[in-house]
Amino acid sequence: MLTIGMPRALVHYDCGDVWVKFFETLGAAVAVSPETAKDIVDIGVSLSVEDACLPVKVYLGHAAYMAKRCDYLFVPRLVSLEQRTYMCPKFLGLPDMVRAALRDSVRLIDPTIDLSKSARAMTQAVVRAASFLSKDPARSLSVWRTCSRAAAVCSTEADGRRKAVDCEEAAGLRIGVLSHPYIIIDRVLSMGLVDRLREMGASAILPESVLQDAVEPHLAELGRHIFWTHEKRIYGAGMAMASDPSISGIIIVQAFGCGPGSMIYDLFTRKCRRRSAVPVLNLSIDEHTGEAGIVTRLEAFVDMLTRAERGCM
Amino acid sequence: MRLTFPHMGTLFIPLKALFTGLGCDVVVPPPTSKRTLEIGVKHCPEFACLPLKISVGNLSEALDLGADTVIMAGGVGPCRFGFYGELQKEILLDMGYDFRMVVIDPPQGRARHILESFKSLFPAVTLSQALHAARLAWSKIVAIDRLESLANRSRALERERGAVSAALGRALEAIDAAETVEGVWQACEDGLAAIDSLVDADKAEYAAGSLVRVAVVGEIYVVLEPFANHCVERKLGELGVIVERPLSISHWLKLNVLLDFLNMSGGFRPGELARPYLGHTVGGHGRETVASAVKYGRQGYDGVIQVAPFTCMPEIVAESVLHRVSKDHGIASMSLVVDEQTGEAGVVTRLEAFVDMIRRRRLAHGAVSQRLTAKNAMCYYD
Repeated sequence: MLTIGMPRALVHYDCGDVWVKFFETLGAAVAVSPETAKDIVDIGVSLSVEDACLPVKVYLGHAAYMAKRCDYLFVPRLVSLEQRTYMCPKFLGLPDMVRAALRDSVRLIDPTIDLSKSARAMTQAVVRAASFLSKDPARSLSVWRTCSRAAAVCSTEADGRRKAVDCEEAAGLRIGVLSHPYIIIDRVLSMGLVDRLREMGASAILPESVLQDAVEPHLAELGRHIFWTHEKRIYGAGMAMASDPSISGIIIVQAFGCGPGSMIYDLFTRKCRRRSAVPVLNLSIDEHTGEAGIVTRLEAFVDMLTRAERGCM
Repeated sequence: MRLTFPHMGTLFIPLKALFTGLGCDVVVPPPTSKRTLEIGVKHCPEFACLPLKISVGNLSEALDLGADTVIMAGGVGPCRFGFYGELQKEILLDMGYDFRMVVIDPPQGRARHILESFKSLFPAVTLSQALHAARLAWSKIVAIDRLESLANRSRALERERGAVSAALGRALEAIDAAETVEGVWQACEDGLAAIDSLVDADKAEYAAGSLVRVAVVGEIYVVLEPFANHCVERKLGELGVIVERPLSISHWLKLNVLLDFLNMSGGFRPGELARPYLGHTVGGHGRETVASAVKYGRQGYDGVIQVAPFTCMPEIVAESVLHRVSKDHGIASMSLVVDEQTGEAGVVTRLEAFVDMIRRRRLAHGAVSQRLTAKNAMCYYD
């Protein structure tokens, strides 16, 4: 049986689960790389150009790890998931960066997913990605539809659970955490920020858990369309958090040198400052960031918020 | 209405002609200086790319001089440039300026849109006035590109160090001052003749096959703005290198605006050339960078220098694959990544090392080494 390797980083957090299910149903074995560890980071850093952001370096580390352990490496070229909106340019060139870094040592499955013009492009991407497993496009498509529908149900259920958790923890501080999924879910990249907040008695509210209805008005009042998928969500959710009185503080976690982030977090900070007094902590991470420094800043921030809650400030 | 716009190399010359022709009072920002950059660095986000920082500095200095309207090009992503206008507006508002911001988006295949946005800006202008202004501006763009291109090929051959750059500067002033299309062509011809007269003919003959040829590619702002790239073209020229720079204002307009309407790609097909290395456009000029490296590699150029601002997303993707182009096509490549921390001496050292490396490589390959013994050449190569 063919083994398809998937790096657990970057795009994996956008669409990985659906593709795992899809390839498995079609009869391939799927191996996802383990959670990020120091050796994976080190390999990634050594394979990458130095200017790239840490998440991209980590992706290359995962890809190099999987390259030796699979027949095909799945590296989708995620161009756009909705009209007039794109992913970061580094997602657009991801398969090429992987090929260059690994010197063609592994075969890639790299469907181009570009839904900027029409949603039908997904069909082509699915058929192309599955072409070596199934010669029957109709079957590939029907499997894809089942998997993506199941994934949609899953994410709605997860939303429900997340909200339930939110309510349970409502007693403690509620802190908004603005970050990309591929940073905040990865415990090494985010230095376990969500867990640490929980240990300090605070709950982290992520952009994904803010309702779309609350996000839209903030995007609409902006003079310009934000043309990056993640950042659009982050900006809108951040503004919604800033106008939510139950949120005591907001933490931005960004990768050093993040391109879209540099613009959107700055725009958010400016707009937020004019409208609300909510404190904002800005953390940036790269391969040199020390855990102690991050923890100290986090503790100081939570202490400050706790005191403000008690009315000591 | 007192109109201003950020600098990008010599772009202010045609823009000034265009907007003056449309009846505007134009405030050209003071030439980009260290002070400009300091203003930008102070007020812009740390990780923003260098062009944003310099442009905010330019606009701040122009608003200080009394401008009240800022005109800026837009974009639709995924390069950050498309979001510049929005952020510049917010930054300048926070700095306390009162002004109007007009962002002109690329036409995306429809001429009407751009004409309409211009029409709303300049309601009193007639069509013939507008066409006249556009024609004058276009002639200036073409003239500047011809002059700069000749200067890049001539510096290596000049008898007196710095003479070509001085002649180029005078010619640009004359073009800036010209008020008619005929005047622009006259200034252009004079400038071309002046630069030609500075070239050492003996050297030129010798140069035919022996001078090092390098292409400068990369992110368009940093390529076109000498302040941002530390005058990389001039420095290379004065190191005895024939410089080719595929990016220019006219090239950009042809590729992105005019040919979009006509649905032509004008001979240069970046997608095809870059495909083995980069299978998709990545925004900005990332794919053009890779395609140009392939093109000049095939043409037998010795080297390609990629210049880009620090954290530039499309150029990081291009940089990641450039070493493969270099290997496949035997063209040396170097990435010069600049930001506000970049020091002049560092750039000079790297350029010298790059050119030295190319010369030694050539000696080792026996291209011009007839006067040297094989032993010497080997020493160089080691």
